[in-house]
Amino acid sequence: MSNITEYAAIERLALTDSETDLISAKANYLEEGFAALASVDTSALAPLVTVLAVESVLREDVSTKMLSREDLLATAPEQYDGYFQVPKTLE
Amino acid sequence: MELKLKLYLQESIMQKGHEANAGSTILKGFISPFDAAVVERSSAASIDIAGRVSVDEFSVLTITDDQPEEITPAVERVVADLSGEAGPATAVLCNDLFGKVRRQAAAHNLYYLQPSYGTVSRYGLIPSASSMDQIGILTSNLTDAFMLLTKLAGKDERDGAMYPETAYDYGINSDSHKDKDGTGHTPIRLAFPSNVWAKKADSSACTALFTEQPDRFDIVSCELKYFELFRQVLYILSCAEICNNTNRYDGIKFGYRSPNYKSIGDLYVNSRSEALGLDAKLTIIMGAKVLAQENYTPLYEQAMKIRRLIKEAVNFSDYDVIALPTSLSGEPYEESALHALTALAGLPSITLPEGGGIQLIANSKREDLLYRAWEVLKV
Repeated sequence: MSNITEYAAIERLALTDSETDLISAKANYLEEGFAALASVDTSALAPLVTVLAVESVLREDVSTKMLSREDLLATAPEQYDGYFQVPKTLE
Repeated sequence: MELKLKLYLQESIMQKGHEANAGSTILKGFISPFDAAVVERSSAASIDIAGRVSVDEFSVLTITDDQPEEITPAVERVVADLSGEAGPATAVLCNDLFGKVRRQAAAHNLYYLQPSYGTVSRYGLIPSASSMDQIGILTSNLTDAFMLLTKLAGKDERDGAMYPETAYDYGINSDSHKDKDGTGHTPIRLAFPSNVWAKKADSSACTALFTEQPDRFDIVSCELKYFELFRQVLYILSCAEICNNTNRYDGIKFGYRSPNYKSIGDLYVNSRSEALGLDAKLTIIMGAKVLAQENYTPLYEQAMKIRRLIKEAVNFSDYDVIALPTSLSGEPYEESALHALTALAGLPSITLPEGGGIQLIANSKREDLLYRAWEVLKV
Protein backbone atom coordinates (compact mmCIF):
# COMPACT_ATOMS: atom_id res chain seq x y z
CA MET A 1 0.00 0.00 0.00
CA SER A 2 1.49 3.32 -0.98
CA ASN A 3 -1.36 5.68 -1.72
CA ILE A 4 -1.54 8.69 0.58
CA THR A 5 -5.33 8.61 0.62
CA GLU A 6 -5.28 5.01 1.85
CA TYR A 7 -3.06 5.91 4.80
CA ALA A 8 -5.28 8.94 5.40
CA ALA A 9 -8.33 6.68 5.51
CA ILE A 10 -6.69 4.52 8.18
CA GLU A 11 -6.28 7.68 10.23
CA ARG A 12 -9.90 8.70 9.64
CA LEU A 13 -8.90 11.60 7.42
CA ALA A 14 -10.52 12.61 4.15
CA LEU A 15 -8.24 14.83 2.11
CA THR A 16 -9.17 17.36 -0.51
CA ASP A 17 -7.45 17.09 -3.89
CA SER A 18 -5.12 19.96 -3.08
CA GLU A 19 -4.27 18.47 0.31
CA THR A 20 -3.55 15.12 -1.33
CA ASP A 21 -1.22 16.74 -3.85
CA LEU A 22 0.70 18.75 -1.26
CA ILE A 23 0.96 15.94 1.28
CA SER A 24 2.06 13.51 -1.43
CA ALA A 25 4.79 15.90 -2.54
CA LYS A 26 6.03 16.44 1.00
CA ALA A 27 5.84 12.73 1.75
CA ASN A 28 7.98 11.97 -1.30
CA TYR A 29 10.51 14.57 -0.18
CA LEU A 30 10.68 13.10 3.32
CA GLU A 31 10.90 9.51 2.07
CA GLU A 32 13.83 10.32 -0.20
CA GLY A 33 15.74 11.24 2.95
CA PHE A 34 14.55 8.17 4.82
CA ALA A 35 16.37 5.95 2.32
CA ALA A 36 19.69 6.88 3.94
CA LEU A 37 18.75 4.93 7.05
CA ALA A 38 19.34 1.69 5.17
CA SER A 39 23.06 2.47 4.94
CA VAL A 40 23.56 1.77 8.64
CA ASP A 41 24.09 -1.83 9.77
CA THR A 42 21.89 -2.28 12.81
CA SER A 43 21.43 -6.03 12.58
CA ALA A 44 22.96 -6.66 16.01
CA LEU A 45 21.17 -3.84 17.78
CA ALA A 46 18.02 -3.64 19.85
CA PRO A 47 15.72 -0.67 19.26
CA LEU A 48 15.97 2.18 21.75
CA VAL A 49 12.45 2.77 22.99
CA THR A 50 13.21 5.02 25.94
CA VAL A 51 16.24 7.08 26.84
CA LEU A 52 15.77 6.64 30.57
CA ALA A 53 18.43 4.54 32.23
CA VAL A 54 16.04 3.62 35.02
CA GLU A 55 13.34 1.00 34.77
CA SER A 56 9.74 1.93 34.93
CA VAL A 57 7.96 0.48 37.95
CA LEU A 58 4.32 0.04 38.71
CA ARG A 59 2.72 2.17 41.37
CA GLU A 60 0.85 0.71 44.32
CA ASP A 61 -2.34 -1.02 43.28
CA VAL A 62 -4.56 1.50 45.01
CA SER A 63 -7.47 3.17 43.28
CA THR A 64 -7.32 6.92 42.90
CA LYS A 65 -9.95 9.32 41.68
CA MET A 66 -8.49 11.96 39.42
CA LEU A 67 -11.55 13.48 37.83
CA SER A 68 -15.28 13.20 38.39
CA ARG A 69 -17.75 12.05 35.74
CA GLU A 70 -18.94 15.66 35.53
CA ASP A 71 -15.38 16.93 34.97
CA LEU A 72 -14.81 14.47 32.15
CA LEU A 73 -18.14 15.04 30.47
CA ALA A 74 -17.62 18.79 30.64
CA THR A 75 -14.89 18.45 28.01
CA ALA A 76 -17.17 16.58 25.56
CA PRO A 77 -18.69 18.32 22.56
CA GLU A 78 -22.02 16.63 23.28
CA GLN A 79 -23.32 14.74 26.29
CA TYR A 80 -26.62 13.27 27.39
CA ASP A 81 -27.79 11.97 30.74
CA GLY A 82 -24.30 11.47 32.11
CA TYR A 83 -22.78 9.88 28.97
CA PHE A 84 -20.86 10.96 25.88
CA GLN A 85 -23.43 11.36 23.14
CA VAL A 86 -22.77 9.77 19.75
CA PRO A 87 -24.94 9.17 16.69
CA LYS A 88 -26.81 5.92 16.42
CA THR A 89 -24.31 3.13 15.78
CA LEU A 90 -26.72 0.20 15.23
CA GLU A 91 -29.63 0.06 12.85
CA MET B 1 15.45 32.91 47.33
CA GLU B 2 12.25 34.42 45.99
CA LEU B 3 11.90 34.23 42.25
CA LYS B 4 9.84 36.84 40.42
CA LEU B 5 8.86 35.98 36.86
CA LYS B 6 6.11 36.69 34.37
CA LEU B 7 5.41 33.08 33.51
CA TYR B 8 3.39 32.06 30.47
CA LEU B 9 2.33 28.64 29.19
CA GLN B 10 2.18 27.37 25.67
CA GLU B 11 -1.39 26.28 25.04
CA SER B 12 -0.33 22.65 25.14
CA ILE B 13 0.13 22.89 28.92
CA MET B 14 -3.01 22.59 30.98
CA GLN B 15 -4.15 25.13 33.54
CA LYS B 16 -7.41 24.35 35.26
CA GLY B 17 -10.31 26.41 33.95
CA HIS B 18 -8.38 27.73 30.94
CA GLU B 19 -8.41 26.61 27.33
CA ALA B 20 -5.63 24.24 26.31
CA ASN B 21 -5.93 23.59 22.59
CA ALA B 22 -2.37 22.56 21.67
CA GLY B 23 -2.68 24.91 18.73
CA SER B 24 -5.36 22.78 17.11
CA THR B 25 -8.94 23.50 16.11
CA ILE B 26 -9.72 19.94 17.16
CA LEU B 27 -9.16 21.03 20.78
CA LYS B 28 -10.72 24.46 20.37
CA GLY B 29 -12.78 25.23 23.44
CA PHE B 30 -11.25 22.40 25.48
CA ILE B 31 -11.09 23.69 29.04
CA SER B 32 -8.48 22.00 31.22
CA PRO B 33 -10.11 20.09 34.07
CA PHE B 34 -6.89 20.09 36.10
CA ASP B 35 -3.52 21.79 36.43
CA ALA B 36 -0.38 20.43 34.83
CA ALA B 37 2.35 19.43 37.29
CA VAL B 38 4.45 22.43 36.23
CA VAL B 39 1.51 24.73 37.01
CA GLU B 40 1.10 23.15 40.44
CA ARG B 41 4.81 23.54 41.15
CA SER B 42 4.91 27.11 39.90
CA SER B 43 1.99 27.94 42.15
CA ALA B 44 3.71 26.27 45.10
CA ALA B 45 6.69 28.55 44.43
CA SER B 46 4.36 31.58 44.45
CA ILE B 47 4.79 32.12 40.73
CA ASP B 48 1.47 32.94 39.07
CA ILE B 49 0.66 32.13 35.47
CA ALA B 50 0.52 35.42 33.59
CA GLY B 51 -1.16 33.98 30.51
CA ARG B 52 -0.95 31.55 27.65
CA VAL B 53 0.56 31.72 24.17
CA SER B 54 -0.44 29.75 21.11
CA VAL B 55 1.70 26.96 19.74
CA ASP B 56 2.21 25.13 16.46
CA GLU B 57 -0.43 22.42 16.24
CA PHE B 58 0.71 19.53 18.46
CA SER B 59 4.27 20.90 18.07
CA VAL B 60 4.56 19.22 14.67
CA LEU B 61 7.19 20.28 12.17
CA THR B 62 5.76 22.93 9.86
CA ILE B 63 6.94 22.25 6.33
CA THR B 64 3.85 22.55 4.12
CA ASP B 65 3.98 26.34 4.01
CA ASP B 66 6.70 27.70 1.75
CA GLN B 67 6.23 31.25 3.03
CA PRO B 68 8.97 32.75 5.23
CA GLU B 69 8.71 31.44 8.76
CA GLU B 70 6.77 33.71 11.12
CA ILE B 71 7.93 34.51 14.62
CA THR B 72 6.54 31.92 17.00
CA PRO B 73 4.10 33.34 19.60
CA ALA B 74 6.24 32.28 22.56
CA VAL B 75 9.20 34.27 21.24
CA GLU B 76 6.91 37.14 20.29
CA ARG B 77 5.57 37.23 23.86
CA VAL B 78 8.99 37.52 25.48
CA VAL B 79 10.20 40.08 22.95
CA ALA B 80 7.08 42.18 23.56
CA ASP B 81 7.57 42.09 27.33
CA LEU B 82 11.20 43.10 26.93
CA SER B 83 10.19 46.19 25.00
CA GLY B 84 7.64 47.20 27.62
CA GLU B 85 8.00 48.61 31.09
CA ALA B 86 10.86 47.33 33.22
CA GLY B 87 9.83 44.48 35.47
CA PRO B 88 10.52 40.85 36.20
CA ALA B 89 11.86 38.68 33.41
CA THR B 90 9.42 36.80 31.20
CA ALA B 91 9.51 33.04 30.76
CA VAL B 92 7.37 30.74 28.65
CA LEU B 93 7.06 27.02 29.32
CA CYS B 94 7.26 25.25 25.95
CA ASN B 95 7.43 21.83 24.37
CA ASP B 96 9.93 22.56 21.59
CA LEU B 97 10.11 19.19 19.85
CA PHE B 98 11.76 20.27 16.60
CA GLY B 99 13.78 23.24 17.89
CA LYS B 100 11.80 26.04 16.28
CA VAL B 101 11.51 28.02 19.52
CA ARG B 102 15.18 27.49 20.36
CA ARG B 103 16.27 28.56 16.89
CA GLN B 104 14.15 31.69 17.02
CA ALA B 105 15.17 32.41 20.62
CA ALA B 106 18.80 32.74 19.63
CA ALA B 107 17.86 34.94 16.69
CA HIS B 108 15.85 37.28 18.94
CA ASN B 109 18.42 37.67 21.71
CA LEU B 110 16.60 35.25 24.04
CA TYR B 111 17.56 32.09 25.90
CA TYR B 112 16.15 28.58 26.19
CA LEU B 113 16.76 25.97 28.87
CA GLN B 114 15.90 22.41 27.87
CA PRO B 115 15.95 20.10 30.91
CA SER B 116 17.00 16.47 30.87
CA TYR B 117 14.25 14.11 29.77
CA GLY B 118 12.70 12.53 32.83
CA THR B 119 13.38 15.38 35.25
CA VAL B 120 10.34 17.63 34.67
CA SER B 121 6.91 16.07 34.82
CA ARG B 122 4.83 16.14 31.64
CA TYR B 123 1.63 15.46 33.56
CA GLY B 124 -0.84 17.93 32.05
CA LEU B 125 1.20 18.48 28.88
CA ILE B 126 -0.92 17.52 25.88
CA PRO B 127 1.31 14.83 24.38
CA SER B 128 2.94 15.03 20.99
CA ALA B 129 5.86 12.57 20.84
CA SER B 130 5.89 11.04 24.29
CA SER B 131 9.39 9.58 24.22
CA MET B 132 10.78 13.03 23.41
CA ASP B 133 8.31 15.58 24.79
CA GLN B 134 9.97 17.80 27.38
CA ILE B 135 8.86 21.06 28.93
CA GLY B 136 11.57 23.69 28.57
CA ILE B 137 11.90 27.36 29.44
CA LEU B 138 12.13 30.21 26.94
CA THR B 139 13.27 33.35 28.70
CA SER B 140 15.01 36.69 28.62
CA ASN B 141 17.00 35.76 31.74
CA LEU B 142 18.77 32.41 31.77
CA THR B 143 19.79 32.62 35.44
CA ASP B 144 16.13 32.99 36.37
CA ALA B 145 15.33 30.03 34.13
CA PHE B 146 17.74 27.82 36.09
CA MET B 147 16.14 29.03 39.31
CA LEU B 148 12.70 28.25 37.92
CA LEU B 149 13.88 24.80 36.90
CA THR B 150 14.84 24.01 40.49
CA LYS B 151 11.19 24.69 41.36
CA LEU B 152 9.77 22.57 38.51
CA ALA B 153 12.05 19.52 38.38
CA GLY B 154 11.65 16.39 40.45
CA LYS B 155 9.89 13.05 40.27
CA ASP B 156 6.15 13.02 39.80
CA GLU B 157 4.37 9.67 40.01
CA ARG B 158 1.88 10.82 37.39
CA ASP B 159 4.54 10.90 34.65
CA GLY B 160 5.62 7.34 33.94
CA ALA B 161 9.02 8.28 32.51
CA MET B 162 10.95 10.05 35.24
CA TYR B 163 14.18 9.64 37.15
CA PRO B 164 13.76 8.92 40.88
CA GLU B 165 15.29 12.14 42.23
CA THR B 166 12.73 14.35 43.89
CA ALA B 167 14.77 17.54 43.50
CA TYR B 168 17.82 18.81 41.64
CA ASP B 169 20.57 21.22 42.57
CA TYR B 170 22.19 22.85 39.57
CA GLY B 171 24.91 24.53 41.59
CA ILE B 172 22.99 27.78 41.86
CA ASN B 173 24.00 29.85 44.91
CA SER B 174 27.02 27.66 45.48
CA ASP B 175 30.67 27.79 44.65
CA SER B 176 30.52 24.51 42.82
CA HIS B 177 31.94 26.20 39.74
CA LYS B 178 35.17 26.70 41.62
CA ASP B 179 37.82 24.20 42.60
CA LYS B 180 37.67 22.66 46.03
CA ASP B 181 40.13 25.20 47.42
CA GLY B 182 37.83 27.94 46.23
CA THR B 183 40.52 29.76 44.30
CA GLY B 184 40.46 28.38 40.82
CA HIS B 185 38.14 26.95 38.20
CA THR B 186 38.02 23.56 36.63
CA PRO B 187 37.95 24.16 32.88
CA ILE B 188 34.91 22.80 31.09
CA ARG B 189 35.87 20.42 28.29
CA LEU B 190 33.89 21.74 25.36
CA ALA B 191 33.45 19.73 22.17
CA PHE B 192 32.88 21.46 18.85
CA PRO B 193 31.84 18.66 16.45
CA SER B 194 33.82 19.45 13.32
CA ASN B 195 31.40 17.73 10.95
CA VAL B 196 28.57 20.02 12.10
CA TRP B 197 30.47 23.29 12.43
CA ALA B 198 31.96 22.80 8.98
CA LYS B 199 28.48 23.46 7.60
CA LYS B 200 28.35 26.91 9.13
CA ALA B 201 29.68 29.68 6.92
CA ASP B 202 31.34 31.60 9.75
CA SER B 203 31.68 30.08 13.18
CA SER B 204 34.41 32.38 14.46
CA ALA B 205 32.07 34.46 16.65
CA CYS B 206 30.85 31.30 18.40
CA THR B 207 34.24 29.75 18.97
CA ALA B 208 35.67 33.08 20.14
CA LEU B 209 33.28 33.02 23.11
CA PHE B 210 35.29 30.14 24.49
CA THR B 211 38.77 30.42 23.04
CA GLU B 212 39.09 33.86 24.64
CA GLN B 213 38.87 32.17 28.03
CA PRO B 214 41.37 29.28 27.80
CA ASP B 215 41.52 28.88 31.58
CA ARG B 216 37.76 28.28 31.69
CA PHE B 217 37.21 26.12 28.61
CA ASP B 218 39.25 23.34 27.04
CA ILE B 219 38.26 22.98 23.41
CA VAL B 220 38.07 19.33 22.39
CA SER B 221 37.73 18.11 18.83
CA CYS B 222 35.16 15.48 18.01
CA GLU B 223 32.67 14.35 15.40
CA LEU B 224 28.97 13.93 15.99
CA LYS B 225 28.38 10.51 14.49
CA TYR B 226 25.23 9.92 12.45
CA PHE B 227 24.48 13.65 12.32
CA GLU B 228 23.41 13.25 8.70
CA LEU B 229 20.60 10.99 9.89
CA PHE B 230 19.44 13.03 12.88
CA ARG B 231 16.53 14.76 11.18
CA GLN B 232 15.21 11.60 9.58
CA VAL B 233 15.32 9.64 12.83
CA LEU B 234 13.67 12.50 14.71
CA TYR B 235 10.95 12.83 12.10
CA ILE B 236 10.19 9.12 11.79
CA LEU B 237 9.96 8.53 15.52
CA SER B 238 8.03 11.69 16.25
CA CYS B 239 5.51 11.28 13.43
CA ALA B 240 4.78 7.74 14.63
CA GLU B 241 4.27 8.91 18.19
CA ILE B 242 2.23 11.98 17.19
CA CYS B 243 0.09 9.75 14.97
CA ASN B 244 -0.71 7.51 17.94
CA ASN B 245 -1.20 10.36 20.39
CA THR B 246 -3.63 12.21 18.14
CA ASN B 247 -5.80 9.17 17.47
CA ARG B 248 -7.76 10.13 20.60
CA TYR B 249 -9.20 13.19 18.86
CA ASP B 250 -12.33 11.70 17.39
CA GLY B 251 -15.02 14.30 18.01
CA ILE B 252 -16.47 12.25 20.87
CA LYS B 253 -14.69 12.88 24.15
CA PHE B 254 -13.30 16.38 23.86
CA GLY B 255 -12.79 19.28 21.55
CA TYR B 256 -14.28 19.83 18.13
CA ARG B 257 -17.18 17.87 16.65
CA SER B 258 -18.15 18.41 13.03
CA PRO B 259 -21.78 19.39 12.53
CA ASN B 260 -21.70 17.41 9.27
CA TYR B 261 -22.38 13.76 10.01
CA LYS B 262 -25.00 11.06 9.82
CA SER B 263 -23.07 8.02 11.02
CA ILE B 264 -20.40 7.52 13.65
CA GLY B 265 -17.90 7.02 10.82
CA ASP B 266 -18.80 10.38 9.32
CA LEU B 267 -18.39 11.98 12.71
CA TYR B 268 -14.84 10.65 13.12
CA VAL B 269 -13.71 11.50 9.59
CA ASN B 270 -15.35 14.90 9.27
CA SER B 271 -14.35 16.07 12.75
CA ARG B 272 -10.70 15.17 12.16
CA SER B 273 -10.58 16.31 8.55
CA GLU B 274 -12.17 19.69 9.26
CA ALA B 275 -10.22 20.45 12.42
CA LEU B 276 -6.68 19.18 11.88
CA GLY B 277 -4.27 21.41 9.99
CA LEU B 278 -2.21 20.47 6.96
CA ASP B 279 1.08 19.86 8.79
CA ALA B 280 -0.71 17.78 11.42
CA LYS B 281 -2.34 15.71 8.66
CA LEU B 282 1.02 15.22 6.95
CA THR B 283 2.59 14.14 10.24
CA ILE B 284 -0.24 11.75 11.09
CA ILE B 285 -0.23 10.19 7.62
CA MET B 286 3.55 9.80 7.72
CA GLY B 287 3.15 8.20 11.14
CA ALA B 288 0.66 5.71 9.73
CA LYS B 289 3.05 5.03 6.90
CA VAL B 290 6.18 4.36 8.95
CA LEU B 291 4.17 2.15 11.30
CA ALA B 292 2.57 0.15 8.47
CA GLN B 293 3.58 -3.49 8.28
CA GLU B 294 5.69 -3.06 5.15
CA ASN B 295 7.59 -0.08 6.58
CA TYR B 296 7.83 -0.93 10.26
CA THR B 297 11.16 -2.77 10.13
CA PRO B 298 13.02 -0.69 7.51
CA LEU B 299 11.83 2.67 8.84
CA TYR B 300 10.37 2.74 12.35
CA GLU B 301 12.43 -0.04 13.93
CA GLN B 302 15.53 1.04 12.03
CA ALA B 303 15.06 4.60 13.34
CA MET B 304 14.80 3.27 16.90
CA LYS B 305 18.02 1.30 16.40
CA ILE B 306 19.85 4.30 14.98
CA ARG B 307 18.52 6.31 17.93
CA ARG B 308 20.46 3.86 20.11
CA LEU B 309 23.60 4.40 18.01
CA ILE B 310 23.18 8.18 18.25
CA LYS B 311 22.78 8.08 22.02
CA GLU B 312 25.67 5.68 22.56
CA ALA B 313 28.01 7.57 20.20
CA VAL B 314 27.88 10.63 22.44
CA ASN B 315 30.84 10.09 24.72
CA PHE B 316 30.78 12.37 27.72
CA SER B 317 33.95 10.81 29.11
CA ASP B 318 35.88 12.73 26.43
CA TYR B 319 34.15 16.08 27.00
CA ASP B 320 31.71 17.76 29.35
CA VAL B 321 29.62 19.79 26.97
CA ILE B 322 28.88 19.70 23.24
CA ALA B 323 28.54 23.01 21.39
CA LEU B 324 26.30 23.17 18.32
CA PRO B 325 25.02 26.03 16.18
CA THR B 326 21.38 27.00 16.61
CA SER B 327 20.86 27.50 12.89
CA LEU B 328 22.47 26.59 9.59
CA SER B 329 20.28 26.78 6.51
CA GLY B 330 17.03 28.24 7.84
CA GLU B 331 15.04 25.35 6.31
CA PRO B 332 12.95 23.93 9.20
CA TYR B 333 13.41 20.22 8.43
CA GLU B 334 17.18 20.54 7.97
CA GLU B 335 17.44 22.74 11.05
CA SER B 336 15.68 20.14 13.17
CA ALA B 337 18.87 18.05 12.99
CA LEU B 338 20.62 20.62 15.18
CA HIS B 339 18.00 20.21 17.89
CA ALA B 340 17.48 16.47 17.52
CA LEU B 341 20.21 15.28 19.87
CA THR B 342 18.46 16.60 22.98
CA ALA B 343 15.22 14.92 21.95
CA LEU B 344 16.69 11.61 20.79
CA ALA B 345 19.12 11.18 23.69
CA GLY B 346 17.12 13.02 26.35
CA LEU B 347 19.90 15.50 27.03
CA PRO B 348 19.71 18.97 28.61
CA SER B 349 20.79 22.07 26.75
CA ILE B 350 20.95 25.82 26.91
CA THR B 351 20.46 27.96 23.84
CA LEU B 352 22.20 31.33 23.79
CA PRO B 353 22.08 34.24 21.36
CA GLU B 354 25.76 35.01 22.00
CA GLY B 355 28.10 34.51 19.08
CA GLY B 356 25.20 34.58 16.66
CA GLY B 357 23.51 31.61 18.31
CA ILE B 358 24.93 28.59 20.07
CA GLN B 359 23.56 25.69 22.06
CA LEU B 360 25.43 23.82 24.76
CA ILE B 361 24.43 20.22 25.48
CA ALA B 362 25.45 18.22 28.55
CA ASN B 363 24.97 14.68 29.73
CA SER B 364 21.65 13.75 31.27
CA LYS B 365 21.09 15.39 34.66
CA ARG B 366 24.23 17.53 34.24
CA GLU B 367 22.49 20.88 33.96
CA ASP B 368 25.01 22.01 36.58
CA LEU B 369 27.69 22.01 33.86
CA LEU B 370 25.50 24.17 31.66
CA TYR B 371 24.94 26.55 34.56
CA ARG B 372 28.69 26.71 35.16
CA ALA B 373 29.31 27.49 31.51
CA TRP B 374 26.66 30.18 31.60
CA GLU B 375 28.13 31.69 34.78
CA VAL B 376 31.46 32.04 33.01
CA LEU B 377 30.02 33.37 29.76
CA LYS B 378 27.77 36.01 31.29
CA VAL B 379 30.60 37.66 33.23
